Amino acid sequence: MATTTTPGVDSTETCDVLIYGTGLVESVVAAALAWQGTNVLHIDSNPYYGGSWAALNLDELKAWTDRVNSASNNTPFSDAYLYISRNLDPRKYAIDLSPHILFTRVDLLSLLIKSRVSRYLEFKPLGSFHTFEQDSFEKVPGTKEDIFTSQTLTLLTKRSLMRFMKFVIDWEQNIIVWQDYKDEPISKFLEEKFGLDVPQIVELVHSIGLLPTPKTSTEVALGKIKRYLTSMQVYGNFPAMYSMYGTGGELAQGFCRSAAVAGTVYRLGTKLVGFDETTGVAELDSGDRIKVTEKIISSEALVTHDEEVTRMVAVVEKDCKEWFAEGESAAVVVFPVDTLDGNQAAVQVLVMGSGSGQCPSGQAIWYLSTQEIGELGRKFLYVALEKLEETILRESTEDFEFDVNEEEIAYLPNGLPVISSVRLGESLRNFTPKESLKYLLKLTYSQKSTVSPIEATADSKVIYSAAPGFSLAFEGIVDQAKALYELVTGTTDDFFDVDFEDEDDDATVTAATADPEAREFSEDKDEEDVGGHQYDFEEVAGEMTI
Amino acid sequence: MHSVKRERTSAKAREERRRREAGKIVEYKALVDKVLTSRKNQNYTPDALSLTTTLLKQNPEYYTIWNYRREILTSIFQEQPAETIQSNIDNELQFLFARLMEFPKCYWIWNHRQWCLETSPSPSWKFELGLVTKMLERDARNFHGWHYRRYVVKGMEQATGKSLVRPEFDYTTTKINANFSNFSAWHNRTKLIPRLLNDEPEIDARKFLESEINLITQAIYTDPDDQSVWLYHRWLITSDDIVKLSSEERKDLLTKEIKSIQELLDVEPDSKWCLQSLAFYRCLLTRLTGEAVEPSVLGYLDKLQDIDPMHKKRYEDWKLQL
Repeated sequence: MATTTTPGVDSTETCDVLIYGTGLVESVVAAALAWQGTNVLHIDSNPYYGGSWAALNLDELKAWTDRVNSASNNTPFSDAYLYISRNLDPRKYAIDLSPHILFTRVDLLSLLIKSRVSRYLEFKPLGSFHTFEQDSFEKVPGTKEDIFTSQTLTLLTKRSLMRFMKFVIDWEQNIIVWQDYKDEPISKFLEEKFGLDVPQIVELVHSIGLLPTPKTSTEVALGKIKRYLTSMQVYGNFPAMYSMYGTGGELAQGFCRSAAVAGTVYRLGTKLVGFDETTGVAELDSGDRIKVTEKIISSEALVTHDEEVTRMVAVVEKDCKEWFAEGESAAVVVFPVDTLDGNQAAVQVLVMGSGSGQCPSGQAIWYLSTQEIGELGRKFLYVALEKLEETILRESTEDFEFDVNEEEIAYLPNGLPVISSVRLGESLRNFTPKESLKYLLKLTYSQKSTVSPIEATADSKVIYSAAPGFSLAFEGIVDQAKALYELVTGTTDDFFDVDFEDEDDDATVTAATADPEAREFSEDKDEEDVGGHQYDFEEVAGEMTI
Repeated sequence: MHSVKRERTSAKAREERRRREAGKIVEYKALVDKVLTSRKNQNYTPDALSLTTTLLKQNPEYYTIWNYRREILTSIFQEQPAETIQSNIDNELQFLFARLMEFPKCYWIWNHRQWCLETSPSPSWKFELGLVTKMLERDARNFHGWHYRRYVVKGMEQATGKSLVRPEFDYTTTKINANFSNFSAWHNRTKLIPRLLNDEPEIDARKFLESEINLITQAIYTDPDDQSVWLYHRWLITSDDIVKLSSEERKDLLTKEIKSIQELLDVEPDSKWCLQSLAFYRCLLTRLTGEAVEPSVLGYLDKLQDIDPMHKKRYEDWKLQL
């Protein structure tokens, strides 16, 4: 984006708000402020947008690694170890520093639609969630149909699961059911109140709730579980989405674009080197001095908390399509607590195929993360990596053979032959792949959490935005942005209260609910081609409001 | 449409709408008068046909007008060779297609379509099957669609001489797996099973019944509040059209199912359908064994009166009959 000069904001003038860092939260705030008429100058020390949320090409990634490991590191990241195979075209990769997925029923998506930033983006579906159980990846049952057709759940388990799902959709209203378990571990609640067994609890906690441990409090966990279940069937048979080319960075850029349209000035590759609180003058590394009349919002938080996440990125020479649902190019795999030789926190993996635009075809990116820290964290990530490698080689090989005896085949009433699944399982477990997996890139690093904006007061001249959270799903972005916005303007009433003037202004939002029948009757879509499909969000904007 | 809330409109909005519609009503009434007069005069010209087109576009539920339309077409077709009739019927089918998109649950549209196929010199059953499949994709629970599908399949079978029972049976399976809360899909299945077992004698009917019971039990446990699955269950247990069970076998089957439902009732004590089914099956078993009615049945009926007060009298009646 070219820097433009708007009257009132140039190299020796003033601005109302100076925002330092083009991370997602800061970008949302920039746009929100700009649309309400605030003069915003938005700068970033990096030559790219997104800050800690960015997706980097390989050259940028190398530079980033050096920066993170240097003494002057002021990012939430540390301890980066990078290996890149030779002969890779650096521009064909977009490595997401802080990978996130977007559930369909979250306020960030509503904001994207309301602000029209969604128009700058291309979203893809993600409906494949697996739990690592007994050496294989089991797809989680997330709908009534999944439960009904499952061949592995017992009748009573199906009933218990359904009863729980019906409850959790409305859990906030049914306080009496969970009141006593409010701060107790969710696993205890699920077991005692709903009689659920360990495998179901594990799946609900880890793959549906995306929680790091079953010890998470019931009140917190129920909200996360509900999020997944209510996100199904909003746009199709999947609860979540991601944006092409690296979600966080693209969303941040989208909001920056919106802010620019509303008059914000952008300067990349520009550092904030000083700020005088008494005069309100900020000094940039270009030598420019800016008078900031209101506040500075900075992503360079000074205080870090102890919470840390360990991350690993691996680019593999396999398309991993065996893990993707039809028409999709991504999947989530969770290794629950205690499945990797004693891990006390889950390892979450986001698999991005080439359809995500983050790597060339025939390859895939594995993003692993865990809340175990340091050496231990890396150890568990490596164990998980091995399991992923084993599984993909086994599932994608064509060399798989095993002998079947006549006695091991049964026939269903409709004539279909079925092989004993126990026998099949045995053979799969004893399978040793002939080939090995080629890694084109490996990166490990740690990420800390930073101070949140709420710790500032209305009087502070400088307020800080938080670094990306540890959760795999976008959480709290809108809340954080609103909190910052309120610290600047004193209210959130006019947050993104914008009247975009344009031609197609008919408020014919018909499909208001997640009722698939209602949806089907208001859309005239013939083909349900989910892969690579640009979703027409505004049709289904419906009841979600900011 | 199933479980879609009605909009609440304010009194002001309603008044607005009333005023707007008053003008339209006058127009509509005039059109109706014109068409009915035309019919009275036995006007069977293409102009009369256009009149009915306009009226039916606005109100396809007015079946008298469809009758009139058929009178017109029949008269016109009298003088025409087969190819012309075919081409006119094809146009008619196109017209109906557009109506169906707007009003997928109007009896008279489906009915007229059937008439077109009967009048058509060479009906395209393949196209019709595609159409009804599409309609059922949009709404799998549209019983008009399912009824029409049976009609089309029959036509196809007669035209080709080939039975379509197996693919149709598999189709109901697909629909049920996508959403088993579907009275029509289960109903269609009940129509197909006897023919299927007849067509494919190599199928062990008893094993088949067992696997169907297993299937429906999965559904019952997944959602015991869904009435359609209980209806299918009852058909499976009591019908003679699947397998001719001996009295002993029937008693064993009832006993087994009673036990299965009882287990479900244990975890869902307020389930209306569980209680009703148990009461029904226990009574049925009693009739076969000749033993006295179990007191538990009275218990079920009492409970039902509590949780289903709308049908209190019915349960009262039932108790008296015991």
